[in-house]
Amino acid sequence: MARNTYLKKVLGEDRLERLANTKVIMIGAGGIGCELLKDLLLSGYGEIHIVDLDTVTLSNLNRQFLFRKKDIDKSKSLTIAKAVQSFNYFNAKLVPHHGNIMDTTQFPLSWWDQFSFIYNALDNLEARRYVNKMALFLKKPLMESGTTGFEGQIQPIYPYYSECFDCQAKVTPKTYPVCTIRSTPSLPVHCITWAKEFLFHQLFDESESDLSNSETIQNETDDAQEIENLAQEANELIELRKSIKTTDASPFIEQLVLKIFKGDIERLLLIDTLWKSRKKPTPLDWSTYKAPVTGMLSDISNQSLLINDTKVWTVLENIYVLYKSGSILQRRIKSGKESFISFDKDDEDTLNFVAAAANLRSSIFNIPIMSKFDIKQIAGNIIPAIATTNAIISGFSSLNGTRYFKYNYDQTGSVDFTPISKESSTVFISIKPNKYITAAALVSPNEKCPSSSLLSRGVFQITEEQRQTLTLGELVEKLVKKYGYEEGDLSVIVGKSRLVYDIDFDDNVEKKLSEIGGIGDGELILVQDENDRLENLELYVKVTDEEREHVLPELKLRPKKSVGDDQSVETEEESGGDVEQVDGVVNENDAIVIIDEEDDGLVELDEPALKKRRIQVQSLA
Amino acid sequence: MLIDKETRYDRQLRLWATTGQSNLESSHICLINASSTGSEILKNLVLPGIGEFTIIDHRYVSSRDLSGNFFLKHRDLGKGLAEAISVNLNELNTDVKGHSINRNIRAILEEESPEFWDTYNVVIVSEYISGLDILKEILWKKRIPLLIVNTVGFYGSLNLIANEITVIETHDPSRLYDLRIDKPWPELQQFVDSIDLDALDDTDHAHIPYIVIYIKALDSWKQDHNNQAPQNYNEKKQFRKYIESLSRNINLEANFIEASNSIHRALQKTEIPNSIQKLFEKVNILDENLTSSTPIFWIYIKALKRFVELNNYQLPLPGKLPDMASDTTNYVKLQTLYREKAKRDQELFTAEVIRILNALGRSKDEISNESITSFCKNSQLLFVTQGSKKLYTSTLVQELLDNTNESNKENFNTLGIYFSILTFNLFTEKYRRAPSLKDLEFFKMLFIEEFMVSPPVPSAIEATFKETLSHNTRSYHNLSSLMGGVVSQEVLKLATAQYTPLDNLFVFDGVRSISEKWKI
Repeated sequence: MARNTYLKKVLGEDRLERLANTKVIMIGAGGIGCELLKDLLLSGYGEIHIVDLDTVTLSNLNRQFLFRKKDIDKSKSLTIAKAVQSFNYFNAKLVPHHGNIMDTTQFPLSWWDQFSFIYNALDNLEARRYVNKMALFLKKPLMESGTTGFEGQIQPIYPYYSECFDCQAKVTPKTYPVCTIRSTPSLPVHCITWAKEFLFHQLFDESESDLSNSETIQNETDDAQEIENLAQEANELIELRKSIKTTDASPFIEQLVLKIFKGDIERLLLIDTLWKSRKKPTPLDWSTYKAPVTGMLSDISNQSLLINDTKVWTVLENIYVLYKSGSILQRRIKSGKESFISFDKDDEDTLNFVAAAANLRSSIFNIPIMSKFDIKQIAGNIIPAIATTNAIISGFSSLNGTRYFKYNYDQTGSVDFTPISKESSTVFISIKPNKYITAAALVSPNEKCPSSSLLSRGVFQITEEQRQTLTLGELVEKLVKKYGYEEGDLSVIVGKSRLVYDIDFDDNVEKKLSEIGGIGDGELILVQDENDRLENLELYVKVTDEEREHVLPELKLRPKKSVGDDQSVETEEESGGDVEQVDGVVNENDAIVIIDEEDDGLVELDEPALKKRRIQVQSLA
Repeated sequence: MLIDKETRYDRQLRLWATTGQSNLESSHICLINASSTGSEILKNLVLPGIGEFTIIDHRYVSSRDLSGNFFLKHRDLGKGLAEAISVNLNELNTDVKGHSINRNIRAILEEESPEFWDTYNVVIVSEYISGLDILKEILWKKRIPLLIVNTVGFYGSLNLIANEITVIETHDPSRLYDLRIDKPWPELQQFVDSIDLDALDDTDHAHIPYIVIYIKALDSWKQDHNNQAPQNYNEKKQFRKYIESLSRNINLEANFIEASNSIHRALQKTEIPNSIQKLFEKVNILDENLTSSTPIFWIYIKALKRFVELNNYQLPLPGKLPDMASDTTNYVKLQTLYREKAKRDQELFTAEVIRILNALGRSKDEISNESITSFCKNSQLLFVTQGSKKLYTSTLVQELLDNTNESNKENFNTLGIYFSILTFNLFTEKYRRAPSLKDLEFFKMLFIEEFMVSPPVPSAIEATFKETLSHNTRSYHNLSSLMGGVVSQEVLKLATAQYTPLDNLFVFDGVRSISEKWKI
C-alpha cells in the first residue's frame, strides 16, 4: 500500500499532486512551528523552508516536541529540520534558514517569490507586520496564527481580498511616561520597568537607556527642578558604572544602594510639586539593614533564597538578593569575558537583580512587593504557553492553508482570491466554556487600513548600472508620466521618514539614485501626491541582473481616501466592543500581559446597546 | 520543585500553578489503540509532564503505519506498536513513566478482573474498539472518566463519559472580586465609620481607598432611595455622578477617578449564585444520604450549606483585594480586615466540615488546609456535572431529525456528523471492516435500524454519510493532530482538576472549521 493512500482519500489526487510540487515557507520554529511543521510534512508538501533566528532554551521543552535537552542553545531552524527527518514519510525537501526574516540581504523580495504560501508561526508584532507587508507586495496568501495559554487564533490572509494583519488594530505593549517610571511610580509594573529598563540598562547594558533621553523628558514635563534632577540621577549612575571594574563588590553595592534607594529618593522629596497630591516615598533606612545584611551574606544557606521563585521576599531579603546578584554581575564584567550584559529573563543573575531592585523601589513608594516568579512574567513579557493549544491552532493553520490548494492558483498565476476567501474562515479557540472553537467568515479589507486600503504597492525593478546612472529628477518624471500626478506635485520619501524630494526641495534632482542612499536593493520608497488626489504608492526596490529597462509596476492609483471618511467611522463602530478578537491576536512575546487579573474585561453597568462586530459567527459551539 | 523543572514548566505553571502540576504528575493515563490521534494526545500530555501513561495495543508496526503516525521510525518496523510508540514518546520527557501492554483489549476485558483498571485516572479510547460497552460499564462503576475520540476523514467527535465531575478551581473568566460593599460586616463598617472624609486634609482625602468611598456613598444613596441600591442604568449613572461629586477635584484625585471607573464593584450584589443554590438542593447531601464514601467535595457542599445558613446567607469571603489608589496604612488596614474575615469564615467552614465528618465517623485527615482554602476562595464558581454513559439518547436522535426537517439552507447539520461516526463504528463492528461509498445503502439501513428512524434518511444526513464514506480514513494526520489537541486539553483539565471540562459531547467539522457541543 502506498504511503499516501490515506492522504489521497481525503485530499484527492489532484490536490495531492499539487502539494507535492509546492514550495511553502514557515516562519518561526517555536511552539506553533514545531506542531505546524509536523502537520505540513504529513500533509504532503513537496518543499518546506523554515526560518527562525532563535536558539532552543529549556523553557521551550514543555511544548516544542521536536527539541530535546541536548539541543539547548542550538539553532531552532536547523535542529527542527533534522528532527523531522525520522518521519519525513513523503520525502519532502526541508530547507532551514537561520536568520531574521526581516533581513533583506538574506531574504530579498526575489527570494520570497518562490513560495506559493506563507505560514506564519511567529511570536512578535514587528515580524508579523513585516511578513504581512511582503505578502501584500507579492500578493501571496498568508496564514497568520498565534496563541496565549488556552486561547488562540488563525487568520487566513488573501491580499486585497480579505482583511490583512493590519486591518484590525492590535494590542501593543503598554508604555509609561518616563516621569512615572523615574519619579512617581504607583504600580509594581512601574518599578519593574524602572529596574529593568533604566537601572539595569544604565549600569550594565551596551548603550544608554531610553529612559534618560532628555528630549522625551522635556516633552513630558516643564518642571525644571525635576528635569535637572533626572539628569543628575542618570549621570551619577554612569559614574557608578565606571567604578564597576575598579571597586570591590561590597563598596560597589553599598554605594549603589545608598544612591538609588536613599540619596535619589531624598532628592526627589525636595521637589515639592511632585508630592502635592501624592503620598511621599520613604527613603531606605540603610543603618537598620547594614548589619543584618552582612550577617545574611556570611551564611551560605541563605543562597536558597535566590532560587525560591514564589516566595515574596522581605525588604532585607531583597537587599540580600541585590547584593548577591549585583556582585555576580560585577564579577562577570570584571572578568572581561563580557563587556556589557543585557537583561534576559532566562539569565538568573539579571533577573534576580531586577526583581530585588524593583521590589526595593516598590517598598519605598508604598507599592506591593511581588515574588520573583511574578516579576519574571512582567519583566520578561512572558505569555503562558502549552502544547495542547499550539496543537489545535497549528491543526487549523494547516487544515485551512491546505484548502487553498483545492484551486489551481499556481499554474494559472491568478491572484483573484474571491473563491478561496469565500470559503475560508478565521478561527478562535478559547477556554471559556461556552466558546471553545469559533469560526468567522473572512471579511473584505478594512477601508481605512494603512496597509491594505490606503496605499498601493509594487516592485520597482532596476539594474545596478541603471541605479548608478538614473537621476532622482528622471525618476520623478517617470513617476509623473506613469501615474499622472498633477503638475508633478509629489514627494519622495525613503527609509523611515527621510524626504528626498518634493516640489520645493529639489537639491537632489541631479543626483544619481545610488548617491542618494535609501534606494538600494530591498529598500522602500514612498511616493505621496501632495495634492491629495491620488493614494500613496509604496515601491520595493529590486536590483536585478536582468538587462532591461527599469520597470515601474503596472498600477492604477486609486483616488485618495481620507481617514475621516464616513465609511471608516462605521467600521470603527463595528470593530469596537469585542475584546475577543483582540485577544486572539496574541503572541508569545509581545505585550505585558498579567494573567489572572480578576474582573478584567468587564462591561461596566448594564448599558443597553452593546456594539456588535460585523462578521458573522458561524457557530458558537 | 527543582529549578530545572521549574524552568522547563515555567510557561504552564503560569496557568495551573504548582497544585495543578502536582496533580498532573500524579496522574496515570491509559490509551487504548496506538492510533495517530492517540500518539498526538499522549505527546501533548508527556510534554507538560503527566505522571505515567500506558498504551494498550496488540498490533505490530507495519509500513502503512509509517505515514500518519509521526512517532514511528523505520527501525520500529515489526515491533509491537504500543511499545514502539511508548519508547519514542518517552524521549520527549524522561520524568514521565511510559508503559505498554501488547495485548488485545478484548482479551483484557475478558480475562482481567475490573481491578485491572484501578491504576488509571483517565482512560482514552481512540477510534473503534470491540467491547466498548463492557469497558464503559467497568469504568462507570469505578468512577474513572473515559474519553472516546473518533476521527473519520475531515470529521471528529469526542465523548467524555464520567458519572460526575466536580471542579473547585474553575478559573472562571467571569470571576469578580467579592468586596461586600452592599453588605459590610461589622468590623468593616466600623472602619468606614471611623473615617470622616470632610475632616481630612487634601492629601489624605485623595488617598482614601474607594472601598470606603463606596460604602459611605451607598449608605447615603439608600437613605434617599427607600433603602434601595441603584437599580437601573439611569440610577447607576446617577450614582456614579454622585461618587464623582464627593471628590474635591475629580480630575486630580486618583482614588475618586478609580472609584468612578470601577463603579461596577460598588453595585455588585452579595448573593449566592443560582448554580451554587442548586447544589444545596441536591439529594446526595441530605443527612440520610451521606455515607463514609461520600466524596469530600459533597461533604464540603453540605458544610457550605450549613455555613451560609449560619452567616446571613453569605458565602465565605475570598478575602482578596484588587490594587487601588490608597495610602499604605489604609490599604494595609483594609487588607487585614478582608484577610481576617476570610480566615474567620474559613475556620467556621472548617468546623462545619469536621462536624459532618465526625458524625459519619470519618477522620479529619481527609481534608487539608490547602483544599479548604481553595474551596472557600472558589465557592462562588464551583463546577459540577452529572454525566451519562449513553452515546446517544432518543432526544438527541429527535434533535438530529428536527434540524434536518427545517428548511435547512445549507442542507447540513453538525449532529449528522456524530451519527455518521456512530454508524461508521456499528458497521465496523458488524462487518469487521471500514465502510466505503459503495456501502451507502447498508450504511443507511444500519442507521435506520439502530436509531429507530423511519425511512427514508433525510437528504442532509445522507449528504454527510456520503462525505464520511468517501473520506473513510481514520488516519488523516491533520485531523488527528487537531482532535489530539482537543482531547489532551480535556485530559489536562481532568488531571489538573482545574478549568471547566467538556460536558459531554464535542463534534468537529474540519470541512467548515466549526464545532458544536451537546450534553447527553
